[in-house]
Amino acid sequence: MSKMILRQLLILLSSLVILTFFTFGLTLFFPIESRFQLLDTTQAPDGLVEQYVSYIKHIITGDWGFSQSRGTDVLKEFFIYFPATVELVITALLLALSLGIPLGITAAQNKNKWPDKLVVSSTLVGYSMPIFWWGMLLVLFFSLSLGVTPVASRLGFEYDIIPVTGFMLIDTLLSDQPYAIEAFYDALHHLILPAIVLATIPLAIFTRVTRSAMIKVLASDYIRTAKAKGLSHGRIIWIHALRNAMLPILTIIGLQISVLITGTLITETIFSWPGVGKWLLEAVYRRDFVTLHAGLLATASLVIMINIAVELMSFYVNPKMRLQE
Amino acid sequence: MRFLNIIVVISLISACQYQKKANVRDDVLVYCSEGSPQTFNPQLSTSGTTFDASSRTLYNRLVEFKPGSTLIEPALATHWTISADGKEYIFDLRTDVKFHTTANFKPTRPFNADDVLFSFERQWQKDHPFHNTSKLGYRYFESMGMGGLIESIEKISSHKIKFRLSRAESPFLASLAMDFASILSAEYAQQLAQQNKVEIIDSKPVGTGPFQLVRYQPDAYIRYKAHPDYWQGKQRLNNLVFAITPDPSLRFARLVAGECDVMANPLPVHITSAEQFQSARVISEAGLNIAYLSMNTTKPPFNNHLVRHAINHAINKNSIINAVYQKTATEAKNPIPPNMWAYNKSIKDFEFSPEKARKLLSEAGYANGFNMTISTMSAQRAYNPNAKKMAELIQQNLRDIGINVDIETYEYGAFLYKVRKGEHHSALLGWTGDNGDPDNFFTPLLSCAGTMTGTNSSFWCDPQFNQLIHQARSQTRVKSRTQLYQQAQRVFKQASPWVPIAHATQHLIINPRVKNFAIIPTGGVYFKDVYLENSEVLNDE
Repeated sequence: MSKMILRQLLILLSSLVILTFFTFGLTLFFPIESRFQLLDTTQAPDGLVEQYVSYIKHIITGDWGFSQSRGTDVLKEFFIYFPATVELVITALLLALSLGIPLGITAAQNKNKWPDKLVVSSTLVGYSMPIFWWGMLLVLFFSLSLGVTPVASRLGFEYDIIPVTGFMLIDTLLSDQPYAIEAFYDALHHLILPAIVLATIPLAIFTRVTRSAMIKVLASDYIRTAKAKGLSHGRIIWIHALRNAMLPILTIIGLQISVLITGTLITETIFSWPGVGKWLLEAVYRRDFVTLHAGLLATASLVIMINIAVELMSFYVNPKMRLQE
Repeated sequence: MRFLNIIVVISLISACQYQKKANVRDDVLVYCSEGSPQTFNPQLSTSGTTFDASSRTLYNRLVEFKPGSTLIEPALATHWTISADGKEYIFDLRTDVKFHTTANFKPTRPFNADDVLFSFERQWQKDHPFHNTSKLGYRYFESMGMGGLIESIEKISSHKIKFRLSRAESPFLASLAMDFASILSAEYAQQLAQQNKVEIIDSKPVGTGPFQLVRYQPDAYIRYKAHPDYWQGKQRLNNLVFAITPDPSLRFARLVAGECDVMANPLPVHITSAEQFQSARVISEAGLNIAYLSMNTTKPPFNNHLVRHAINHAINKNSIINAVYQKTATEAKNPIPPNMWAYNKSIKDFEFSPEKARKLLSEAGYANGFNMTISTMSAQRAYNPNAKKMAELIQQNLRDIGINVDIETYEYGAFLYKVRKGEHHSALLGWTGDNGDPDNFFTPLLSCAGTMTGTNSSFWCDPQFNQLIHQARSQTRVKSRTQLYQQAQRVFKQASPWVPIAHATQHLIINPRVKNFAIIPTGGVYFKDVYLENSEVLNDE
């Protein structure tokens, strides 16, 4: 076990080093004044190696430079916007999993009957949906025609909530305002449409992966044995079959994290959601290279770390892999 | 299916909660603004977005414009006397004005002459301890030539202050009513200096204005509350929020859905479709503005006036007004709008004629055309609803006379930064007058002083023109000033450093529950004395 963890940590470290090569390479194309913020200008190193060492020093000590247009510390700014993105990504992920797995199971149980065909064809539609158009359509219908959901942002502006953690669902509950609970429901309400839009593609993928994994497991011998032993239907599906079908699902969750983070860029723009995606997009318009560099490095390292964590988790879940060690 | 049920139940519960909050919403006016302010200190900016969020909500000036006009009325100064030679201004100050009490600052004294001294000396004296606290610079103060104009500022007593000018200048009083002349607290600055926190003076503002800042999250919102000790009495409106929404379609959607009460810079299509919605009402007012293509005369081939004339002939303004403004603008020929008294009606504009343009180009030695770049901004402004589209139309017009145009689009702040440094080849710009005086167009946009600070984006510095506007500034009689300005407009037309394109009509869309709200001809959004229809009940609680 510890050997496995050690190996994963080494992979993590080397991936991060390769990432810094890449981001350092990008800084070579920056305007000089942006670039100097990430190097030790006092020493004025000449060679690329010295510059890289100086760059790494800045990255490790957390001195990621100041935004050219706002004069603020970009790393600090990243952590102001980050919670909004995390809140959205987690909600979308939970939504996709809580709908995708049961849908996939239902389809697998009714293989080639109408519920299966319905699920398979709708996942195909969901998978190929242009997110931008889909988001607009939902806003047009639910927010503007029916008026049941808000159009944009994280919370109605009538509520004055002090940002403590940056997570709106937590901050509204921490607030001592008389309307704290009302604001919590309002924040939840604001999450619905963006979460649905962001969850659409992962939901389609989770459903399809669950379906195919379940079909494979349900055809195996031990399920037949379980049925012959007279175990209840629910017990066979949820305890015996799902546990074994879980492995490909876990792997795909790790891969979908990066899809979700890319999706936030579009979703946050549609819903004016003040998260990392919108922050980076605004930085592109402002030609703010220092901000872009920080956003790229931070999100990329995060995706790498999450993938490693999922890898470790699937190792824990899968007894075959444990025994190999 | 169980899971689906749970989700349906959760959304139903929250839907019920959503209906209930109506009474909290009744006490908040939400303004969907077009962008994040650069700073909360209006001295450091020339952008209307920044002024809306700072000088117009948080601060006062010695004198101010009467709402809805360009007439000057007393504000922090109760009255003033001007010496016979027009060089000395003595102001008597109000004694009952209190600054905001914030988390960072508790004022111990009311407003006095020290605050006036601090506010002007910070911009004026290069060795002032607060002069260099911000990298943004005092562009407005400098482009107005205030540094050279002011000879001395003297505190006569705690509530009496004297400005001595190096020459007589009639627009000086109007200048003091402008955004950059807002009064900051000297006591706050002193306190920050003692605590070694001078850098927060511009981000955690303290002023005397009708509202005070509660919280700001960049790209998301600015929250204000009414200043409880405001010298003209506390506002009826308790809470004001700027919801920062750069996308115009989203702003309109939010207004229609009732999430916003006032929407900034609507697109022409929003104005025509607003009638269909109960929650939208359009208010309009002839604007005091100009949109123009500025050619950088320091860069070839724009250093040749024949090329500039050719481009003036080549651009079809009528099609721009139809396509970009959807007819909510008038064609421009002079650098000032026709509702200004100094406007020269007799100027003949270059007619749209690609043949004449081609002829002028070959005269100038560019028979085969050349390559040029037009810099534009992604943001939409009151004078230009869609700079990118305008650039594309110009691109087509110029292709017809053999000029190859590249378009570069930037975010508003980055765009202004680039233009001020003179890095652009040509740029689509615009201007909204802030004090109703024609000098407010000529001096920043076309004077030689403006080339130093970068507000003169064509970097055109003509001695004769400069002399004319300088003379017009030092006269007080409107008739003689008009003559000088009309002559200046003729010189401008001969040299043509710009292609004047359009004067836009100003529009805003508001929710009918917003009362006492008016568009100011000088542009900008003021929420002083604005209230919501049902807000009285809540105020009594």
